[in-house]
Amino acid sequence: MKYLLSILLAFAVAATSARSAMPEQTEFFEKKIRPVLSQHCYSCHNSLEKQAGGLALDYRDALLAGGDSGDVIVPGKPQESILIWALRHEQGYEMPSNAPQLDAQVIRDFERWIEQGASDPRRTKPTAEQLREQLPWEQVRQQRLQWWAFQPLQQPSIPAVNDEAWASHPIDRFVHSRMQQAGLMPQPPAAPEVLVRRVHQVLTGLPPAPQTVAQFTANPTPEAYSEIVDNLLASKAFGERWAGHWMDWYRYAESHGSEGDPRIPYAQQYRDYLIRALNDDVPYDQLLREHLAGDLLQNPRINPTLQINESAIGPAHLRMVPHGFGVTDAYGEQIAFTDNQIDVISKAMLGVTVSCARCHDHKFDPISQQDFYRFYGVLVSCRPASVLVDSPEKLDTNKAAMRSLKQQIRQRFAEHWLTKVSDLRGWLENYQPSVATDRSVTHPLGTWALLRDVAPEDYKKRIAQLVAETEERQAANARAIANAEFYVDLRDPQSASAWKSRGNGTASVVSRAGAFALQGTGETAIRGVYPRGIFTHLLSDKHAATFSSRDFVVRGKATFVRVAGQDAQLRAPVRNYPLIQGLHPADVLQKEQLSWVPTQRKWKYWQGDKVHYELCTDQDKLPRPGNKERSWFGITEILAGDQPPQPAGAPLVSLIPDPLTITNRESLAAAYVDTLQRAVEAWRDETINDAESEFLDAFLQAGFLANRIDQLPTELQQSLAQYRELENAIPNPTRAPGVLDADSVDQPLLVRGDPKQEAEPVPRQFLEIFHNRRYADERSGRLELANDMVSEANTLKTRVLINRLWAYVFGRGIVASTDNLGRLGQKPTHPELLDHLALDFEHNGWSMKHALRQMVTSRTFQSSSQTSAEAREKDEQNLYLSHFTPRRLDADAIYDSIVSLQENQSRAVYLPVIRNQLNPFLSVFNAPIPTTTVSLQTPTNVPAQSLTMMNGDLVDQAARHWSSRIANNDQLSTPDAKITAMFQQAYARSPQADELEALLAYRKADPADQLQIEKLAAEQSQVEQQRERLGQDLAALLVPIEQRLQQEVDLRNAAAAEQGAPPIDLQPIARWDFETDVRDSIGSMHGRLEGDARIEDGTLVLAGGCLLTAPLTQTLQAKTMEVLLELDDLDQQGGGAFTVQSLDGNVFDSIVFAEALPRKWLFGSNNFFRTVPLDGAKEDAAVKRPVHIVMTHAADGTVQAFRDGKPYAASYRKSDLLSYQAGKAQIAFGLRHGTQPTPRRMLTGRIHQARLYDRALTSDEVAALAAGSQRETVTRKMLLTALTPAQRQTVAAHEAHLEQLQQTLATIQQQRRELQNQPRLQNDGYYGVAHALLNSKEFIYVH
Amino acid sequence: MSTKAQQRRDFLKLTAAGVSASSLSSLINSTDASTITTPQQHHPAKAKSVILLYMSGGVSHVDSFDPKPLLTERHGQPMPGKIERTQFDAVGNILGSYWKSAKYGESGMELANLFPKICERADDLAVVRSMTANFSEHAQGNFFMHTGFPFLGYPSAGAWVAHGLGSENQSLPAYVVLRTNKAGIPHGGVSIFGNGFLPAAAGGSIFNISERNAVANITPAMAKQEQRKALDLIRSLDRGFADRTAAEQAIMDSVRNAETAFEMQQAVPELTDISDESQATLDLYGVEAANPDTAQYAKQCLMARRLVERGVRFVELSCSSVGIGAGGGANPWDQHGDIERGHGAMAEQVDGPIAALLQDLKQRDLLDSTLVVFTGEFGRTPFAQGNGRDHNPYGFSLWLAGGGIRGGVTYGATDEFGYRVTENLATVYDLWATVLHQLGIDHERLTYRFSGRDMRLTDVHGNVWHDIIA
Repeated sequence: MKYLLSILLAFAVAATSARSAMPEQTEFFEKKIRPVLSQHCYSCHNSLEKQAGGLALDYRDALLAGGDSGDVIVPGKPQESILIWALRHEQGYEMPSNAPQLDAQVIRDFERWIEQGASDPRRTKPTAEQLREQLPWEQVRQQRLQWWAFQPLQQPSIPAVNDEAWASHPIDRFVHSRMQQAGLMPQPPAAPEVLVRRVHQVLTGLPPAPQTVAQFTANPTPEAYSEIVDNLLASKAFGERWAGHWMDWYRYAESHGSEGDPRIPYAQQYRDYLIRALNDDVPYDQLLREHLAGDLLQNPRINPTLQINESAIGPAHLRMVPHGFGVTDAYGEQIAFTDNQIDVISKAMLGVTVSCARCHDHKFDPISQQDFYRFYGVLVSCRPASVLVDSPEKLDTNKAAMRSLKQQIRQRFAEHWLTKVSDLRGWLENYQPSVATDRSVTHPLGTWALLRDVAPEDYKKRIAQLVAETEERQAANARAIANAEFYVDLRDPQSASAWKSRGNGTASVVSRAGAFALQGTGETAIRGVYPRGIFTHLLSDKHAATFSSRDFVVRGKATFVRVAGQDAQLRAPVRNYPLIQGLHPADVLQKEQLSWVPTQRKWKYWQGDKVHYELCTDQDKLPRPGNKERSWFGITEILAGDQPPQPAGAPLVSLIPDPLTITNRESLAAAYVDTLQRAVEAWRDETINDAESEFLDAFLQAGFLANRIDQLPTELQQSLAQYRELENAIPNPTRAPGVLDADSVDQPLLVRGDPKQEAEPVPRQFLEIFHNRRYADERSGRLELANDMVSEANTLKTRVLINRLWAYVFGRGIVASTDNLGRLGQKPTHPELLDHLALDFEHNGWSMKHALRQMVTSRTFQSSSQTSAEAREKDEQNLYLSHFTPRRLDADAIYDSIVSLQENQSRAVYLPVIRNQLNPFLSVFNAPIPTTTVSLQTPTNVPAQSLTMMNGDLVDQAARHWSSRIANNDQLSTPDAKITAMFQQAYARSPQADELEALLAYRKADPADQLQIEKLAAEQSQVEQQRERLGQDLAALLVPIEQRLQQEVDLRNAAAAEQGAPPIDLQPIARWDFETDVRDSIGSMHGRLEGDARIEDGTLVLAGGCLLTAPLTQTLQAKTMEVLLELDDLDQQGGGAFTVQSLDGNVFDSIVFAEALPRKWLFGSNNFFRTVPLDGAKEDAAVKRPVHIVMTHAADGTVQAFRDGKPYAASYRKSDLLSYQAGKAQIAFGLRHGTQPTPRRMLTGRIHQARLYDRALTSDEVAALAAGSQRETVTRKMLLTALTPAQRQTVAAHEAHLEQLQQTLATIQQQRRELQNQPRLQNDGYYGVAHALLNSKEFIYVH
Repeated sequence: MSTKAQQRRDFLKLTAAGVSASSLSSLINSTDASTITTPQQHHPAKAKSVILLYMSGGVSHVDSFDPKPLLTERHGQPMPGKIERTQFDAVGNILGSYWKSAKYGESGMELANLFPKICERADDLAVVRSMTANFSEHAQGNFFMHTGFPFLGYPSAGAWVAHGLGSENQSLPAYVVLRTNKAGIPHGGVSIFGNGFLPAAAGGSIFNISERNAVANITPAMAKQEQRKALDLIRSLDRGFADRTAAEQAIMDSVRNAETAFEMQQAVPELTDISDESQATLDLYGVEAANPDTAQYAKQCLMARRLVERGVRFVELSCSSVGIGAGGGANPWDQHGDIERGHGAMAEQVDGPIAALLQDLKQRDLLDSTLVVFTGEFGRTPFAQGNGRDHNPYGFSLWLAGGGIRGGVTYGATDEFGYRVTENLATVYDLWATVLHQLGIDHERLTYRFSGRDMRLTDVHGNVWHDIIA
């Protein structure tokens, strides 16, 4: 067929090309065909880059050549052309792929074109340039703008309806008229109890209180309903519920995910902000503005109660991005997290996906790749930071008063000091330089330290040397700066102004030389006197600050910063990456004096990348803030290069005009006095310079200038006390996650999204379809973006919101795809209604409460959730809302409804959202993963949900609390009343008669557990009787024979006694002879072989297997274990020969070989807890002959071992005796302990005989046992041998039957135990009722 | 009559009058787990199931599947050429391998003997030596390898497979992740196995086979017959509720899910109870091996076979940490230091069990229909970091076996140091395109529309490795 087609085609092509195309056919192609091909096909089917399916469609020859599926068109025969099949989605073809089908008219155009011969004027293969220009973006954008969501909102006329019940509310008139058009009849209103529960669940996510239900059902008037709605909208629960929804839109999370899952500091502020904002019904446009630029608003929203600048918390969501851990590709990381911000902003606020356009223009919507980079520029012009969100007043507490007081303090200090300057001479004589720096050339006191003991004749030479050294330092410093890759002097206000300062500290301006800080606590007054620079703590170190540079490109070997500070952080983050890890280091500043600090230890690693410098106070640190209320920093310079500068310091020689006038110690001291006097005066007059400040500070720190408060003049003390009072009243600032505007950056477009292919920078602005104008250069553009977002030109903002609210109320949006109003989303079912509601919302103060009130008070909302067969047929999905669509509650509402039955349980919205440990309960009920915008959780229905409800802790605990409360509620006196109350609480309705009956029966069925236990008890006694009868039968058969054998044995025992050793009977409680089988010849502790254990030649052969017996029939305390055994090898370790153990194998006593010590026997017990290694002789014989091992355990806990009748090592007592309970313990042979063969616990060898006694035998008795004086008894082997074959058969059958009965009995006992352990038995049966009510679907549905 | 229809009829029979309940309302809100059991296959499948042996932390390819004699030759010399940014910025000299290389199998594949027993099965393996990853950090690497994206929120490959093919077993999930108490969750957390935006049924169910409670909440809260009684009561309440609302189908699905859950309480313990396996099988895998890490991995391998036998589509295994080098519970292969001891101990943990798994699958005729994939999130550098190796995403190895993949072949190559890919650059998109291809799925057509985009496991990338397909 295909062959035939291609022959036909060959003719057709020949025929087509023979004709020259008619002009009108060319026109048809140009108008109808080419634009479609270029818009929808070229990107995947072109002859230059990509030929999906081996097909190119961008010029005639390629089109005719076809692709992997053969020819795609048959000119003249549209029905045979694959191209047409593909456009029609037929024959398994589907084009454009993963996209909506093209308009029917377009497909008809293609059919017509092919039918008329597929005239194609595209004769040559296009160049790359031509291909790009095929259809200019402008044109594509214009076409796509036709989509409904990009049309301006229009006030529709409200349809008239004839049904009075549907006439009063605009929503109802739109809905009713649409319903009528569809030929549907509305359902009657829902029952009052259904409605009241529905409106509670929708508005608050909680079930109603039973009293509310009762009141409303008694008086179900519109007024009463309206009052309920008002109460719900005014309740705190409203904000909690809708903040939960909102948090899903902005992928709220408290950690960044990835390795280490670092927390996002202060994230919960955003949650609480949303709850407050929604409860306060803050206008939506205001919230949108706050979300983008709340920290930049001229008139922020101040919360007077909390003294918080609410608006400033809005941008916190920008910080809730996922971050990679210790990234090596910082640019890639920045692209990823900025992409996430854009994705969330565009989906949450606009309902379109701008991040789709990162690598190319949007495939379906009028959003260009440029648009993506417009947003990108705005967002990377900001940096992650903690922001202060207190009201300006609070942040500026006492600032003015402190500032003026400080002036006075300076004057008073200066006056006081000046009276004492002359004392310096004497002070210097006694001065002992304390540290090396004090003796250095650069230190103010260095000159004194270096010269004081120099002979007068050498002064001149040494002074000249010091001067030369100082000058050389200054020159070196200048050289280092000149050779630096870059150097920034922040003492220069011009340079400093390019940096960004945030917070309420004093870092916003360069302080003048001599600026000083006062201590808020402690014995001293002044903390330091500083040279020019940026200092945060000049008023208080309780003030917070973040100080950051513009971007730098990393060059040179290292970078250095001249800083001081306390508990502050210094970093140079790469590409705004906020986390700290090996490649992303940070330094903590803990130095009072300024010094050059090498920072960003990975500087070379990041060569060529972008960094900025950033300092911040303790509680503002990213990613992990500290908790210190007092923290500060100061900075003067930064430098990148090979060498740090060598500061010249403030040596005396540099501060006096002619150092050579100093000729001896006296003139040196005089020069110091003069210089200090000048410095203090200059400080007082505020004319001091940097070196003098440093000089003065040295004398302050060295203790010469008075600084201890108690030694200061009284009036100075008073001023200081007043200052401290003001300072101590400064509140610790409140912080929230946020961003800070930095330099504005126009982001280069990345060709195909590839970071290595940066094209031209794209100016920052809003989506071109709404506002095609660029933002001002000096700011990030967030504020402009905020204004554009809420501007009238934006046709999406309110439609998106109203549609979402509608979806939460009615279960389905007017546009079903609530996060996508674009071309790939669905079309609105009621477009006019959507516009009406959006405009109504804008006209009513953008009030979400207003919009919700409109919806829930409509008749549409109040319809019953039942439906008719006709309606189902006509409107399967209930698009026209003829009834209320029942739906499963979302995860949060299920959680909240469950915990609402307990007291003092906080709601799901308050649960931590830690990305790597998402709450399993919420996850199983489809809570979204916080990565992107999700506005309607898709409820799935999976077994894990049933398991969670049936077996999970949350339901169990709620049921427990709830049922005990009900059970103990004496006002509910009867089971009927109690169950009815539970029903009302869970489902907001009373049970129907059959339901009540079923639940009562179910509850009664609980003592039913009791009945069941009784039933089991009856079964048990029946089985026991059977067992007894069988036992009697067996006894009837065996006893006479046994008696006969016993007589024979007695005779032999008597004969033995005559020959000497008196036979003894020590009355073991169990005995295993292993002659033919694994039975206990005394009691019923018969064995079961496990693994490779077997009976062979009258012994139990252990070769990796073991033998476990039936449970003890009597409780065992004091005991003796006796065993006669051989070992396969002496180097084996840790195997148990004879063990008494609990049935689970966890508690045991055992005869163990070579566990603690090689080749030695041991009385083993769990973890050696009760065991002492036995230092007996090393075993050497057990491989050659059987050895007789006995361990006794006396009532006081004393343990004694015997080998071949003789004591083996000393006895010991380590702990009290354990008791092995009847039915709960057993014997194991060959296994140290456990329930199955387990490596390293197995003994290999053979056991000849074993006996168990219920007392500790004496050493004489053990010696007798070893000597073989055990009185002979009738063994099983003797008995079986004495039987006739027929008798043997009978015995075997009886024993098999007995075995079976034994098992049945064990099962029954197990069931009884389980039933007796049921928790509900303690709950008077209401636990079961509670659990069932929570598990029934009505509980997790709203209908 | 299909199962679904059968169940539906049973339900109708149960429903009071059958009139109001005869509602043929659509799946109102339910995306029922069982509605995705019809496989979305685009071409005949070679494989039915996938077993992913995930080596979290990153196995050194130059010490295993991509030996480089030059490293031994130049041991201790500086690494020539440009060195990319490394995670720890501690670039040492070239480090020769501690493991000897030799030719294995009829194919004569050259391998270093870090995994001696897997080496013996060289003729079953298709070793891809030109893998690359985009991230050199664990969590992003783990997400990338599993989902094609570096962050949470996207479906794991297993979830895509589960979504595309569904499970053949109604009592077990289609995507199962095995772990033990000692085998941790890789960096990034459980979302690595998540369903992302796909329906929840597709997500990986984590079975901790060290615990009695292998699956969360699988242990019944009450005795079985009591639970039966409770479920019957709940069903009668649900029936009444379904009668009163237009959500009958959804509620019915929910009721059925409760029944499935009830069955699962039985099926999961049955699955994890290996007492019906012969001693020979236990010995083959090493379930009772003296090395507890080997024993637990052996148990996972055995469990993987049992899951595949029961129709589970995608099984993922987890390694235990041996606590050597930097390897912790989340990244046990991460030997930045002490690689000789660390990789040695890790290999001892997995080598025998994996070889046994391949052998056992083969002898049970399951290898043809089971695609086994062995990979970490990246490889390790040819140069030293102390006495270990740093992360290397620029070239590393993985292997596939069974499921219609050719054995005894290699694909792609790295340079003579094993540092960068030089031939047939391979990506995680290619890996999953190939895996999906073997399962009968065209990776470009397995899509899911999520907030305005048709999402794919392979994003906009991916080429099937036709060269290694039998």
